[in-house]
Amino acid sequence: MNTGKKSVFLVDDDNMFLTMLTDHLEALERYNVSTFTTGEACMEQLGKKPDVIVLDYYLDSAVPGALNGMEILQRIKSVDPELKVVMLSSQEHYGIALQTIAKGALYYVIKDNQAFGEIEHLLSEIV
Amino acid sequence: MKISPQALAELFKEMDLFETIPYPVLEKLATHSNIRKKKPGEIVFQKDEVGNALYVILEGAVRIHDHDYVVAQQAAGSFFGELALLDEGPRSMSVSATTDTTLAVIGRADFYSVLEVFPGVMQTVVGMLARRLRQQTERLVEQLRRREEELTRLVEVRTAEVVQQKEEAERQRAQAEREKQEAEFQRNRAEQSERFKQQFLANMSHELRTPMNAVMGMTNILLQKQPREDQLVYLDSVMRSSKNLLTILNEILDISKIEAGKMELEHTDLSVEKILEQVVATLRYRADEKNIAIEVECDPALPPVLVGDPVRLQQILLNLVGNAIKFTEKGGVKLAVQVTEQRAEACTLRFAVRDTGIGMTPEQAAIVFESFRQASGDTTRKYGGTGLGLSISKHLVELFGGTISVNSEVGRGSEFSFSIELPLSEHTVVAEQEGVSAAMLEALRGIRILVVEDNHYNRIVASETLDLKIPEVKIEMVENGAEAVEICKTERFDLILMDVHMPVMDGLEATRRIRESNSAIPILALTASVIKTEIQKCYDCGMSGWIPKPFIDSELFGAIYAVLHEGKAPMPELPEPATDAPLSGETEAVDLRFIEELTGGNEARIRKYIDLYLESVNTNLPGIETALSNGDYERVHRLVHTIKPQFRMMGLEKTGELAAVIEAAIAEQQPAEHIQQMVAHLLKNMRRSVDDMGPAA
Repeated sequence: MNTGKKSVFLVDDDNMFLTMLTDHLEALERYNVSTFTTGEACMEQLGKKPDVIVLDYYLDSAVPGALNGMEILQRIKSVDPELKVVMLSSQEHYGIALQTIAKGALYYVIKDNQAFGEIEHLLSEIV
Repeated sequence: MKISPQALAELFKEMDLFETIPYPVLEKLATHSNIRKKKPGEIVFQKDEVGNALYVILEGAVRIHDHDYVVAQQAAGSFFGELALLDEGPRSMSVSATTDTTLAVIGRADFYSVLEVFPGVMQTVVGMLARRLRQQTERLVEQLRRREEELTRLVEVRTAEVVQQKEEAERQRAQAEREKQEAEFQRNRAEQSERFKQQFLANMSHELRTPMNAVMGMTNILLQKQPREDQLVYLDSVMRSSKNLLTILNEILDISKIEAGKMELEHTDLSVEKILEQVVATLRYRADEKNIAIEVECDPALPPVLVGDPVRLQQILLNLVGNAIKFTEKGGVKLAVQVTEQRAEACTLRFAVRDTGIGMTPEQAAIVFESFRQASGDTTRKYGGTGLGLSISKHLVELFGGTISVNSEVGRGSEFSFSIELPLSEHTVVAEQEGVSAAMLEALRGIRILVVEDNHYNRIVASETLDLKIPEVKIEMVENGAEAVEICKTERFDLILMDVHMPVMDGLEATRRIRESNSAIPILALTASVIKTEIQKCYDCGMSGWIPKPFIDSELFGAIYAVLHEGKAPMPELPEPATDAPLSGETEAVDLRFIEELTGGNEARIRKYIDLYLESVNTNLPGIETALSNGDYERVHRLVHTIKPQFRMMGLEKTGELAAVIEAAIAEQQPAEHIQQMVAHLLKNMRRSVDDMGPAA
């Protein structure tokens, strides 16, 4: 279905943040948002060619043993190096941000209350 | 023009009005008519005048009008004023001649007296009047319609203009909003990258200090092993470069601490005079090298003992005097202190550093205190330095409660000055800091020391330094805390030097275990961290004191001597106990402002998010409790990490902060008891938030 809307995948094991971000992006009426609570579920749908993936750093709180965002980022990049990925985390460590950027993430957004506006802005710029 | 009644009657006969009337009657009417002549523009009658005559135009033309508004034009052969035949009332319009005009005027009484035998004429008159009224009405209606159309058109044009203006205003507002959002976004990004930068700088300088420790320590050892003369030159150069590098690292660490608001000043007794002496003693060789004078001028009224941070005051002055020497080629540098105000409990001092150097332009002077800025771009290349010294000095002076300023002139020199107020001390002399004397080292003869250090090079530095200085010292070395605990079970030591960060078991945990069976042995921490909370952790786990890494000989031996022979901690000024801000006070109340703003006040969405939060607490709260009671801190860490952003969304800022502190505490493997206490408070806050928002709908 081509509605002219851009396709956004959100991957986060924090249901509350996931829902709030989904609501926020859908209210803009510019994006078709698909949500996943594990990176593995997101990987299965990569064939749908999303325009951008917003990926949380830690993904194993709901499903113990689930792969973390860093691993998923690398797998996404090995499937499609051009796919745009924005990393999301409440990790405020520079080193982690640097690692995700080094592995091909476009941006690193800290999961605080500014994150919604920041992601909205990032998406309007990159897709 | 002279008209005979016959001719006039002929004229009447031609008119519609009179066509049914026999000629003799018209002739009689003509004899009763008066002839009037009017000039162009002359009024025939005025509106509202009482009228009782009918006018027939014989020659010329008239216009019927109301002031400027012309209703009709009439020419020869037509008549006007006919309403007066029906009713002797006010004229509804004015009439005036438009050219030379001749009129026949028929009075009402004459009209009827002549024509009463012809009632048909009345019918004709009324019919004509009706027709004329209808025509006039139609014309008026037409005019009204046209006006209305014109008005409608005007309104449409105006409306379009207004709409356009409104659209333009809206467009501008949207543009302004976009620009505002853009600015906000850029600001956030800038703040975030600033945070990264701070952390990066702090981490880098911290990471670099550890290998620097090894380089400087080993160079020191080689210097003391009677090197050949050529080797001595190289070693001196290594030593000087290392010291420079350490200075730069310290400056970077200082500025990141200052900018993060983490720099605190000590309050101990100090002697300003001694500090000035030390500054000059430290820098004199550099002035001598450049063959310039260096002098000190000390106000005799200066109290001998004041209270403040001697290290930081010395740092400011070293920086200013060092700079002055750096930028002066001839003449000299003068360091002066003056008492500008003396009160019972405190005094104000003005410090000034004057040089006869290259000076600065006002533009250069204006930016000289900014971080990473130097008077000109090539200053770094020519004179070296990080460009941080003056910025650090400025911030330190501000921490002392003063301000720094500069007066400078190109080619004449500069004067940097600042005034600070320092409290008077209760003491009359500053307690002497003992240096390393031969007697002290002799007193340490034959002691047994355990060095616990994971870094191979640092181990060698420590043991060689101790071996060189302390006669007959016996040194045992192990690589981590677990080995230290093990060896302490079988061997006896006089002293343990304990690295804090080590694999397998860190120094804090090792100290706690050793203390279980040996409360008396002095344990000194070797730590590259100089942050108060880190130092506090060393004391909390039972250490006797600490030595900063990289250490200098006097600090190392001074600390060892102090702890063994004076029975006191080498750094007596205990940092105040760390207060965990998020722990203080009561539980925190929920504040929904953020989600209200985010959702634009959408009640359904707000309720949904509250329910999601409550659901999350319902799962995570027991999860955290279970993990905590199982001692599974990794799991506690993960759950706390996940829920942390949710606290912030619910306006639970302090709880979010506490979650971050807990994460850090777990990552640093702080004492379980401390973590448990914080997690308990976190859980309390979570329960309170559930109470605040009620059960899930």
